[in-house]
Amino acid sequence: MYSSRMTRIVTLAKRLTTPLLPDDYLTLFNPLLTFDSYRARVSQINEELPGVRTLHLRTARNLPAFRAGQHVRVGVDLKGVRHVRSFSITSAATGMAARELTITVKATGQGGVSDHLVHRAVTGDIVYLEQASGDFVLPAELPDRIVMIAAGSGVTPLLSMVRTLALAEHDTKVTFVLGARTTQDMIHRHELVALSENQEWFDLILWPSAALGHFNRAALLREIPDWQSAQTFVCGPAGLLTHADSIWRSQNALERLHTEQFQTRLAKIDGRGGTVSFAKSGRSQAADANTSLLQAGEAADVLMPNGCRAGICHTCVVPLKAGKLRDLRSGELHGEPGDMVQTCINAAACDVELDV
Amino acid sequence: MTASTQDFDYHTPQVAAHLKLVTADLSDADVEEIGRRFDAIRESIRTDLGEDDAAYIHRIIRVHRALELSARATLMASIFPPAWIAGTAMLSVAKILENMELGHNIMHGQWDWMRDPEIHSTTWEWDSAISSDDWKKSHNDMHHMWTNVIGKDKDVGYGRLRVTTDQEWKPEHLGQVGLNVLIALFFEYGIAMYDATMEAEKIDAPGHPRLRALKKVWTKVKPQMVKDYIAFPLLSGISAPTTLTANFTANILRNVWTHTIIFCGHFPDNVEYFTEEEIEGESQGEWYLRQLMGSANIEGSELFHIMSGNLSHQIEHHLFPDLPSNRYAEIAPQVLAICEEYGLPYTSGRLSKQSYEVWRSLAMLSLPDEIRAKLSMSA
Repeated sequence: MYSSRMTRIVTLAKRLTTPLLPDDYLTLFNPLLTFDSYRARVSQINEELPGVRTLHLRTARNLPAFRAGQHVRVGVDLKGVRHVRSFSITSAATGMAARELTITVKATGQGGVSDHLVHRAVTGDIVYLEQASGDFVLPAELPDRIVMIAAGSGVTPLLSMVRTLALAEHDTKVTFVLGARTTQDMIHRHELVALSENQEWFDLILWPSAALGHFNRAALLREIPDWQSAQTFVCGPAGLLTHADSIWRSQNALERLHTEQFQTRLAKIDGRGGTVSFAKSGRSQAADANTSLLQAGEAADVLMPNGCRAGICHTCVVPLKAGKLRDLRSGELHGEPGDMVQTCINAAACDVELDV
Repeated sequence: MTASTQDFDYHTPQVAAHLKLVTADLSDADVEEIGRRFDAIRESIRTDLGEDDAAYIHRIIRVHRALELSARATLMASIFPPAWIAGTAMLSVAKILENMELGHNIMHGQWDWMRDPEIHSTTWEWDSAISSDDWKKSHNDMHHMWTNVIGKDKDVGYGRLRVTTDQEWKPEHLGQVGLNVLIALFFEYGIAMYDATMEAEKIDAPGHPRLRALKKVWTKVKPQMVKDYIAFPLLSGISAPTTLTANFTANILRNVWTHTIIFCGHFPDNVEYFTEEEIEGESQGEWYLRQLMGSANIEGSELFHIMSGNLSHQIEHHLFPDLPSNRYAEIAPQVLAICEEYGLPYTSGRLSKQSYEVWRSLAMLSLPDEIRAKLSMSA
């Protein structure tokens, strides 16, 4: 954050720029000069593997401190439209405000933010950042024993944890299982191997699943016999997490298991409607394909903003938290978390959550 | 003279009947087809929006901010007349861009598709006396949904002016030309107060509605007044008085300009008005027809269109209020083609002509109908 003197200057400057913000004029000179939001410049790009890149994102002023394992929302404009995705921060968390962080991105082939960052982003590009968040973090008070299990790009938040540990004095013993289809597919393998060779506290198990099969209960018992005494952090696809959950659950040890899922399961979108949940009011309402979100909200007695009820005035827009919508005028399916959506001309295409 | 009086109308009931004649020529299927055609235009633009459009609005935003910065800097030396003139001109243009091509259009949601939180109808605030929230309610909903429906669309004469014979003549209308000059000079404050008073009257609260309205408008206006009439003059040092007059002039010029563009969009001759009964059970196709007949375009250069916030394409704006304004120019010929095919009116003219018609109608309609009829007869 910036100093209190800076705050005073910004407050005074706002008197001159009202109703706009000083940012609106400062960005004429340098697009990174913002006080009310965060913007970063891609300062360096490292090719990790085919289709995997690390991007260094540099801001003009300090970002708030983040915790190892947290993710940050990164926004880019694709064909004029802002797209925002969460990426795990891979750089070490120093506990202090800093001006740079790194993310490691794997292309998905779906043409979204990840593909853009991997295939088209160049140094000098501007991206939009939000404050880091997430509960999948290295505990402030370090346990004696930590197990980390990563599959595919699930290595990213765990890498930040390991890098953070590497900067500090500690008595924590870490066993890291790095999984991918083959050894060549393992992201950040060289760094982790080097660390395991140089550091007493860090053990690395490479797990190429094409050769060894999935890392399962038998593998866990064999490779990490003391797993039950450890705090375990697992990050990877849903299958891995479900499996881990059942192992730890069977031992009544779920409180020692921390997981982060990377690919969310997609809701079944058939355009036939679904349950509309209203996050702030805690209500929900079943709605068919022809019921507008506005009607659904009103049926549930939610205080829905509304105006023309015909898609003209934009009084009724609220943030979409989850789910897909169907435009009642064009029939088009659309909607991403964070979109501001007109409730009067959109219906639920599946289960939907609105922030109202 | 006789010929010319026949050329224009004062939005008389006869003309309202003419509207019905126009629509009477159309079958329900025709109206439905026209609706489908307009929907198709809308859809073709909406699916085509992309990088170029985003670049356009970003460019206008940069131009506005650069102009405003330059104006404010130049006015530091406003004690020198050339600096005063240049600064005032730049500030006026900046303020006009900010209200029209940016504020008005962004608040319509024209740029919401970019999902940029900084250029979004829900977050944008503008340098005007009416807050963005109140504006969206009264303008986007009441005016655009109920365009030119007497009793519903409060922009029909703003409760003071008689712009059609469908409104009953009252003695207060005698002075409406003078009143309209005042409205033009202080337009933003006028519509803010008008709107706030109407809202205040709906709520049963202590205090006179007009006083409560004044309070509300003042909270929005105060920081802008401080900026224009205290902060920047003080920063100008020796140029303080001249910077103040420059800022005042820029605000007045913007008022006169927006007033002119808006009045030319709805009050020239051949624009139709409607009653609530007429629009009962209106279909989407009929809604389009009402927007079409209730609006008038102003012809001009590309720069003129930008400076009018593309409200010079008032017809296209009313048909598609949330399509990005930079696309109205390419939509216009398509709309005109549909109008020609179905024999629908498409009112358009240069600024001088439309302005003249607006003021002439106001003058004529300030008189009671009987006197006006006699005047026309003798003329």
